[in-house]
Amino acid sequence: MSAERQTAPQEGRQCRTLLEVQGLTVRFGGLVAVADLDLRVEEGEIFALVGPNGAGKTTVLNCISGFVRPSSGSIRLAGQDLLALGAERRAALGIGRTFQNGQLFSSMTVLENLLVGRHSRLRAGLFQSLLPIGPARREEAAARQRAREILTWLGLESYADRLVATLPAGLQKLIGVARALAGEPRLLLLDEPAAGVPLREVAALADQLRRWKAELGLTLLLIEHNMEVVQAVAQRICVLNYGRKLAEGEPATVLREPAVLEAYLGREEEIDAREEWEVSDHAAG
Amino acid sequence: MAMKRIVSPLKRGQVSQDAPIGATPLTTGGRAERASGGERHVWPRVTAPLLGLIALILLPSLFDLLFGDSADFQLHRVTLILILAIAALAQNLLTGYAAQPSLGNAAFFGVSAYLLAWLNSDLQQPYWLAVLVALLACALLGLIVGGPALSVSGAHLAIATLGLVVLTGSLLTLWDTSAGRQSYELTALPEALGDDRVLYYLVLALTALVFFCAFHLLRSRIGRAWIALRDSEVAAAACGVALTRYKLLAFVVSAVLTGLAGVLYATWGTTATASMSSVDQTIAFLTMIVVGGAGSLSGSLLGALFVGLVPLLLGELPDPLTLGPLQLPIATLTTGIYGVLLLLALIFFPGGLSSVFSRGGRLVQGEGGKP
Repeated sequence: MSAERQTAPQEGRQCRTLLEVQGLTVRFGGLVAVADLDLRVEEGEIFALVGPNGAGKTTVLNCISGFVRPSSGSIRLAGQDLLALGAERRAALGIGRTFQNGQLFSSMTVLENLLVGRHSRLRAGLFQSLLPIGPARREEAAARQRAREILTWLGLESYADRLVATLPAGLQKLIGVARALAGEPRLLLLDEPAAGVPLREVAALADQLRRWKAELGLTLLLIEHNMEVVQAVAQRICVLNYGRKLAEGEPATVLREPAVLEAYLGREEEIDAREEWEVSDHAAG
Repeated sequence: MAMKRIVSPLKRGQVSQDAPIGATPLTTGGRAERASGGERHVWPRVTAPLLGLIALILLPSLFDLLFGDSADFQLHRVTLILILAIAALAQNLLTGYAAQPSLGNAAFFGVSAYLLAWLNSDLQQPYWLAVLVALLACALLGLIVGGPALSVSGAHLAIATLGLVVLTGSLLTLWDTSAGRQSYELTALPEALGDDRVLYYLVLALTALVFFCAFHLLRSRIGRAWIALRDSEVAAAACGVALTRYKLLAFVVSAVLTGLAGVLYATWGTTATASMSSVDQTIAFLTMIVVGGAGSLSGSLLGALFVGLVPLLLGELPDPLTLGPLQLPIATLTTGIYGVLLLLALIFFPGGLSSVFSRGGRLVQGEGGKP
C-alpha cells in the first residue's frame, strides 16, 4: 500500500505520464464546451476532474474515449496519439470507462456484460465461433473464468448469472466498473462513480477506488461531484469552469482557492457550502 | 493506508470494512481453479431442441400413419416451414440481435434462387457447385451493399434496403421478360431431390445445422458484440466493439443465410420467381420475426411456423376469393393477413410468440436456448 505513495506525481518528474491532453478545444456550433485544456495524468495516480454542471467534464472524458472529436488539440496515451483512432481501438489500447447512466447491456446477464467488456482481449473469429469446439472454446472458457474472478473480487459473484435489468441501480453502477475492469485497462475513466450511490456507501466507494488502483495497478481519471469522494481518493484534481481550467493540484489546496470556491461552491463558508451541496446532490440523485 | 489527504470531517470514520460492496482480496488471474464448464442450465437447453429434432426426424413415419398416400404431400409443406425458418433466423440475426432494421433480405432470397437456376439449369453446372456460388455471391453482394446501407441508420436503412428489394425484383423480372419466360424453372435438379422425403431430410439437416451454429455464434464474442450494440452502441464501442465492422458482419451473415433459404426455396418449388424479391416477401420475413419474437432463436422457428401455415390454410380457399362484389387474389389476402398479424403482435405481444411461451424467462440468451 505504501508503494502507491511513491508514484504520487508531486514527488518528482521521473514518474511516467500516461495520459497527456494538450490544447484540447471542443466547439459545438458556436458554443465552446472545452477551451484550450491541458491535462497530464501520471501512471498510477488517481486524478479527478471536478467542476459545476456544464463545465465540460464529460466532454473531456468523451474526447479521451473517442466519442467526441475535438476541434483542436491532442490526446496521447503513453505517447501514442489517440485522435486518429476510433473508440474501439482506444479500448483495445487500454482505455476503459464507465458511464454516468450506466449504459449496461440490459438484456444480458452480469457475466455476459463483463465478457463484452473483455471483447478487445478476445480473438475468436466468425468461423471459429460457429461450433462448440476448438481454440475459440478454450478462449471463451478462460474469459468466463477471468470475468468470474473480477466479479468475486468486487463481491458480485452471486449476481453473475442475473439479468442486469433486474438489479438495483447502485449495483448496476458497480457492474459498469466490473465491465470496464474486464477489459484490463491501463487507464480507467469513471464518470461520476458516486452519483446515485447512497450516502452511507460513499465512504466504502472511496475505499474501493483506492483498492482498485492499488491492487490492479490502474490509473484512474474520474469525474466526480461528491467532494468527499474526491478529497478521500484523488491525488490531484483539476477544476473546470465553462470549459476552462480554473485550478489544478492537490485537492486540499485547490479546493480552498477563492476562485474555485466561488465557481463551484458559491460564496458561502466552505464547509457549510459543502454540506449544503452534498445534501442537495443526494436529494437530486 | 496513510491518509495524508484531508478526508472530509463529516464521514471520515466510515472508511472501513463494513462496506456492503464486497472486499475480498484479488486472486490475480490465471492461477485460479478452472471453471466447471460455465453454464449450469445446460440440460434444459440441450434436451428441448434435441427432443424437437428427434420428433422432426420421426415426422415422416408419423405422417405415413396419419395421412397414408398423401403423406409425402403433407411433408412437402412442412419442408417449406423449415426453409422459412432459415430465412427468419437470417432476419432475426440482423434485426433482432444486431438491431439493424434492414428490409433488404428478400433481395438475396431472389438473387440466390436465380443464380442457382441459371448455373444449374442453363449452364449445366453441378447442383452443389451452383448452390455454393449462389451463397458466395450473396456474401459478396451483402458486403458491397451493406457498407453504404449501414452508413445510414434506422428508418433510412429500412427504406434504402427496401429500395434494394424493389430494384432486384425489377431486374429479375426484366431477365425473365427478356428471356421470354414467366418464371425460371429448375430443370436439372439432382434426381434425388425430386423425392419429397429426401428433400425433407436434407432441409431438416441444414436447418438443424444452421440453428446449432447460430446458437453457438450468439454465445460467442461475435454474437455478444451484436447484442451489445443493440443494447447500447456507445458502451459497445467503449468495450472495443468495432460497430461498423460488426454491423456489416451481421449483414453479410444474414445475406448468406437468406441466400441458403433462397436456393432451398427454389429447389423446393423447382422454380425461381421474381416475387421472391418483392415487398410482399419482405413483409413475410418481417412478420416471422415480429410474430415469432425478435432476438430469439425459438421465435424464428415459431414465426416460420405461423407464417408458413397461413398460405397453407388460405390455399384451401378458391383463388381469387369472391366476397360479394370483391375479387381478392389469395396472394394479396396473404400479405394482408401478415400485415394484420404484424400489427396485432406489435400491440399485444411485442416480444413475439416466444415471449408468450417463456413467461418471466430470460429475455435473449436463455430463450434462444430452445430453438
